[in-house]
Amino acid sequence: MSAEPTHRRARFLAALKPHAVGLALAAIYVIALLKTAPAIGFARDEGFYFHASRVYAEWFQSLVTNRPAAMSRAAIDAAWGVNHEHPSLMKSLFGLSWLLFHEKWHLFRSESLAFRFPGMLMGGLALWATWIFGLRAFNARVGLVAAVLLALMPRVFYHAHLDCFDVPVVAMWVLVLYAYWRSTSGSFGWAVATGALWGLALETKHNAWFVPFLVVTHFALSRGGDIIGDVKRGKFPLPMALVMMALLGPLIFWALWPWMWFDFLRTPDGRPGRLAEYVGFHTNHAYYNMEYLGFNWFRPPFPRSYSWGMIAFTVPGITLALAALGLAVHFTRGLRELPWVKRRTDDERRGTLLLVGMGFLVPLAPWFSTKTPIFGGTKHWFPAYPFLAIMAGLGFAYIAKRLEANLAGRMKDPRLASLALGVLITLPPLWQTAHSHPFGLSNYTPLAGGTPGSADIGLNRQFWGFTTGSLAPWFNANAPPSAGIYIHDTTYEAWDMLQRDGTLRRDLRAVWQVGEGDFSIVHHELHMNEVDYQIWTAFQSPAVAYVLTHDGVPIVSVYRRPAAAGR
Amino acid sequence: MPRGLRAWWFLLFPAVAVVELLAQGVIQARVPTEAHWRAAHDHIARSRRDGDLVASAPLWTDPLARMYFRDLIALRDAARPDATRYPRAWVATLRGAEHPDFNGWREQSAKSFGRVTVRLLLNPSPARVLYDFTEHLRPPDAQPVRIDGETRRECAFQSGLFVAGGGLGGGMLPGPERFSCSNEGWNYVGVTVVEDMTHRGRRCIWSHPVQGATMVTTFRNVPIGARIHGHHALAYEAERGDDLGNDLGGPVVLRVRVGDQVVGADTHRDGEGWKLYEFDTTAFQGSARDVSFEVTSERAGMRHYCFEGDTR
Repeated sequence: MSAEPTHRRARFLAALKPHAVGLALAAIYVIALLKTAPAIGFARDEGFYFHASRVYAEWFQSLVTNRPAAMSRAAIDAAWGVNHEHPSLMKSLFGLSWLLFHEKWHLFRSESLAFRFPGMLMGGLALWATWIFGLRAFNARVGLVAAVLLALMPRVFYHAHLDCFDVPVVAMWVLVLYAYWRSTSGSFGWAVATGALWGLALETKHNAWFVPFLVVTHFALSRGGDIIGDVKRGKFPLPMALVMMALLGPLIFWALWPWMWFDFLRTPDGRPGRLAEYVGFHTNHAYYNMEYLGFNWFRPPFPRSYSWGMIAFTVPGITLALAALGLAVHFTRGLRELPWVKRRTDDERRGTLLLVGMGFLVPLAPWFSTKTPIFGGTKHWFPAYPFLAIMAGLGFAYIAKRLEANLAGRMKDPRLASLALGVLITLPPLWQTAHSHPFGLSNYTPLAGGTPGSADIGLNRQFWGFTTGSLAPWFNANAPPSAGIYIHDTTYEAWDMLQRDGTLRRDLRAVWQVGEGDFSIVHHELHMNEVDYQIWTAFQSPAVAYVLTHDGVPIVSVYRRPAAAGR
Repeated sequence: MPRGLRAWWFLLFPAVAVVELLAQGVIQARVPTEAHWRAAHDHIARSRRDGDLVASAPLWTDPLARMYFRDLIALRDAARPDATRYPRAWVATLRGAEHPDFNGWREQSAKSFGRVTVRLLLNPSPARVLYDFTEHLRPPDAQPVRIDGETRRECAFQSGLFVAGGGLGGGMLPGPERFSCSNEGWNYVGVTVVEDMTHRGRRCIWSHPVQGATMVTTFRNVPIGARIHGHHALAYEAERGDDLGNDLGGPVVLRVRVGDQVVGADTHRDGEGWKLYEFDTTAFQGSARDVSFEVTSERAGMRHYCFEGDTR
């Protein structure tokens, strides 16, 4: 037996080692998400996706049992027409998870957990990819700190529980940029991977539309100045990743979304097709209400400071401080990578720091405009966060290096000091994240004064009506049999899931008009105060029976119909 | 900075973590407990007099006040037009916050119950209200009419009605008592609670203007003081306009008569919110007269309008 295969095997195992770390990070996160998920009620959008996923899963079943019928236009339109404003990949996974892990194999007793599971896996994958990116582009410290700080962002932790797309697209964003970065050293395989991953990203959420802009700009900035020199060396740097994106991206997007199989570009009578409808939905999206600095913003122009302010108030301060240090320390190094600053005559990868910076800035770019809706809070720019975390990792690595240099000769193993420092910097995010649960959207960092401080300065308390889930123990204990409850911002599907999961008594009824039932609830958001006043009028009383709070701040008020108010 | 220390400047960054840990601890430690609120309740319940207002600060604590002090806060107090009529206010206060209704009031006492401080505030010049129109919107005290040209239609009083509806964007709900003025559901005069432009709830009399007509609500034998003091408003979503910036309706004019004589008129324009009006009635002071409120608008669509007032 020759030494060659053994050597190759050793190399393969060595290459797997970092992935073992990534897998461990992901596994720990997914376990934490699974353990904590039952405490989080169901968001409006989750309700819509529960329904859509179930319908898609049934279509997959019919695909197995009666393929010709399933492939008919009527069957496809009936199934995939549901919630067709968003692509199908995650909803398909949610549905298949429900079908296999709940309905068939009974791995999850809870239906909601089965639906949410793929989203959690994508949360784990986002950490894994961030770790690998940080490790390969810089070092293990950068990768590890980045992954941990990403995991311990309270808003990310909340959204990572949900059967929604905001965290899955974070994973896809990092993976696409990682593959592209790997491809810039000339790897054809990574170029193909970039194209394929971008197709999957397109199928995950529309944040992926920005990737080509990022890649083209990055390529132009990092290689543009060298093109003439490179060509003279016979090394024309064709961005193969971009070519593969153009070839594979739309193909995968189309192939995985049956709704798009008909009338893709145009309808038979010449009107714009389904692609245009999908794009139009997002480019002409309604403006919902959002409180920021004490004002209810409901139409443009929106405050230009919104995204930066919300990052400052929701991402732990130490993460931001380390990211600022990382940026400061590496900014000039990043500039030196650019061909206009330093002419390069090699084939080495270039523009890594630039890519990190763009990976952070491009997802935020829509909010440089005051016309972009702000209703999503922070979730719409989540893809920026792995790169913010990598910058924080760079900041930490710098400090650790300085610390070890200063301690060299003063202590036996200065790396222990770095380890202690690493533990210290994770404590505030860990505390904040744990404390935010299950009110991730209500929680603000100490920079805002915590949740009470955010209420003082007027920041959005929550959205999506998911906090009804946290009222289940109160209703279970206090509601009379068959009581009717006006559930305000909660959808029927979300309410139904609380009952299907066994969290909420099954005899309780959701009602749809203020004053109709025995109880009425109000999810506290500034623009929803009117519902309070409707209840005061209906019940002729402002008395509240119970207030759900986070750090003493009202999240949901429960009104009980007074006997005098009649039925 | 000594050179030795300068070499460690980078530790300022991890120091942020220490500061953040301390801050998080302080924030959580300052949250009042249920026992604090209940002790504050018992203190107020023991000490307050008739006519005192019970409130809380900052404003976002209002739901908590209405839960812990539910036996001390009536609807008319929670949805008050302003605080000018109250001689004293008991304000459960967190972290030294101020309530905008009590600007200029003097603190007579303050007592802390854990993290909740109960302040007794004195109104430097409380108004003596002779007659609150909102409290008298029922027969025989009041009668609304809709006047379309020569046609004068009395609105029919109904009481004990079941109230349901609303929801987000649903605007004001009609209360269980109201005068119906036509078959159109919105064309009534009744007490409701409006969300004003600062998102506060105000108890007031719904009187949606009618295109080409006048809505007149007359109160009989009203004791007249030196002035009629009140507010008028549009519901938040009607006043702010829609997402696309479309103008939803025209200004609304409120004209007030004592007997046959107009004592004042005020126009409510979008953006003015919960708007104060005051009309001099010293010419009639000490007498009892009929008082009429006339509501008109040249563009009456989406004018979810209400007014309130008193004589003082």
